[in-house]
Amino acid sequence: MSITVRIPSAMRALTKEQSTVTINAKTAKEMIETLESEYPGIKDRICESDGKVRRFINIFINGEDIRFISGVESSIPDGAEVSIIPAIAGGTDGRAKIKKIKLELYFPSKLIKQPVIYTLSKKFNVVFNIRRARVTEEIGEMILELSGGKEEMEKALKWLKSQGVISKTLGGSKIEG
Amino acid sequence: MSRKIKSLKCKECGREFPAKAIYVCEFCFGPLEVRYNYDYIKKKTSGKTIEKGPLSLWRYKELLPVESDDITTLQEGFTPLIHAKNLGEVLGLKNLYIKNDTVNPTFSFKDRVVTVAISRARELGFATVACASTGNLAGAVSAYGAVAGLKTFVFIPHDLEQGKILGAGIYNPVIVGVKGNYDDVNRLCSEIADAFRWAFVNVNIRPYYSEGSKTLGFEVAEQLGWRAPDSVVVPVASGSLLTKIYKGLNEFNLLGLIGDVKTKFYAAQAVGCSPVVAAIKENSEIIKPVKPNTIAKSLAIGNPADGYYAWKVAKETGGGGETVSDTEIVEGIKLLASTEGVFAETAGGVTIGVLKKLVEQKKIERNHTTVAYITGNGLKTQEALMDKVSKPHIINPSFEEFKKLYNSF
Repeated sequence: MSITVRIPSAMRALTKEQSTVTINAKTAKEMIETLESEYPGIKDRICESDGKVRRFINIFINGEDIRFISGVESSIPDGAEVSIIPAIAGGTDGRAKIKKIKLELYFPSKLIKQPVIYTLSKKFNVVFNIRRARVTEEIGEMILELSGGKEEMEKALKWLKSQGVISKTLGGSKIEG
Repeated sequence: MSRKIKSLKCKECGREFPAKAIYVCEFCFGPLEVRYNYDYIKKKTSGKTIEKGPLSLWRYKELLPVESDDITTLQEGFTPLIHAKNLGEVLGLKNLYIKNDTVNPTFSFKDRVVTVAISRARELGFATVACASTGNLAGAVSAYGAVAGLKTFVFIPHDLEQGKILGAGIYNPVIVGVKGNYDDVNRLCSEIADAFRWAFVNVNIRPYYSEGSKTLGFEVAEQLGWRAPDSVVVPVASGSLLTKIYKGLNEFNLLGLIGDVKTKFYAAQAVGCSPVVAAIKENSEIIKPVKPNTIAKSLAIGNPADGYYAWKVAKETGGGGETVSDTEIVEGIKLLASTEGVFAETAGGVTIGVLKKLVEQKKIERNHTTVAYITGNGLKTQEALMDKVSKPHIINPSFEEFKKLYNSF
């Protein structure tokens, strides 16, 4: 049960500056324990001493606040993305809400040998999942799932376009505020 | 080093930080609050020293987070506390009081928080002040920014009432109308506050700013003859005002200026934006954000920063909360004006409407000393009342015509 966890910048000192980490967990509670065993000290930042998630920390599973699911008992589906997001006085940062979209991409021949998707995920705080790909001499085709915060996603898509990649949205949640 | 300000303390985990322009705990992200040296304050403060002070909220300067005497003030605060006998009779209350904050320099209670915020911002060396506002704050920051000679930026939702845009514009700030609601404006301002070295009164200066609201607790206690009321009805937007009135009364108690505080706190919100009252009614500490839709725009905060703390005060004091519709808001404004001569903005209509409901539900009793907080002036929200108040009867300058009109009543 592999899941991706997005770590807020204020906690990255504990995760060796990684903005996302991949771990195994079936519930939010298990995720916190696993994170703690790999990155000691992080549980104290997320939870009160009684294990309750701190009031100004939000945990989103695929974009849904666990407060409105089952709290720390909320189950996490395989492959899900979990975000840990501090609520700064005045509320949750909407930009950080996770959006997931499925894209059909066409790479012109000049780009076929370039590590475009790798660069994309390095340059922007987005997570990709290649669902299908085919490369010929003339063209590369790919079905790609992409998820991340609204602004990062918009920037990533703009960058892809600027590189000459043609993309078509196949589905997923719309990128909106 | 100041002797009265000790530090900024996280309301959640209790960690302490130096009293600078910071507002979030770097450990647990809880909000920071000013912590005082009460032993020191107690030595310097008594009922007599306060009574000799200026007729503004600066009579409580020992309990406000500004160190120097070089303050930016327009003589705000110390507004009338009216024994509302007429309104009380209509509602069935003997000891009803109206705290009339419509008569502050820029016509709302925001002058209280802004005089403190801007005085502190100057003390911390800022040259630019800014705010995210539902309107009243924009006017106050613009006026005090002008008086202090600071560059002033105000950020508002683009569809605010004309009276509030004009009421800020006259002081010549830069006004930025953001296409979105207040919560969008606030989010944008958090980003700007991170990037610019500006004093955002309700973002990075918030721990100091919000302390200004305590004076609405201090004044009421002093004006009632050094005692706390039995019940208060407070309009809730971010929730800060309600929690600070509570803090104010308790500080007075701590300093021995008043006896035990047994005041019940009631939150007043509009049906179209009631995240705090919803939590009170569901007895749930989770404040669910909403998309506001109400004529009470000064209360239209869907994701209130201090919502949880306001909820907690209402619950722990044995109070509660109620909501009113837009129609009831207008009725509330008219009722207050026609009984007590006070012309309140829409938020005041919310307070009066909610007060009426609480009396009907027998939560507020006839003999209770009850204070309803009226926080803004009706001239700012005239749109809400168009076609709903008396209009002139047009006649020629003829005695006959007047007699005819008179007989028609």
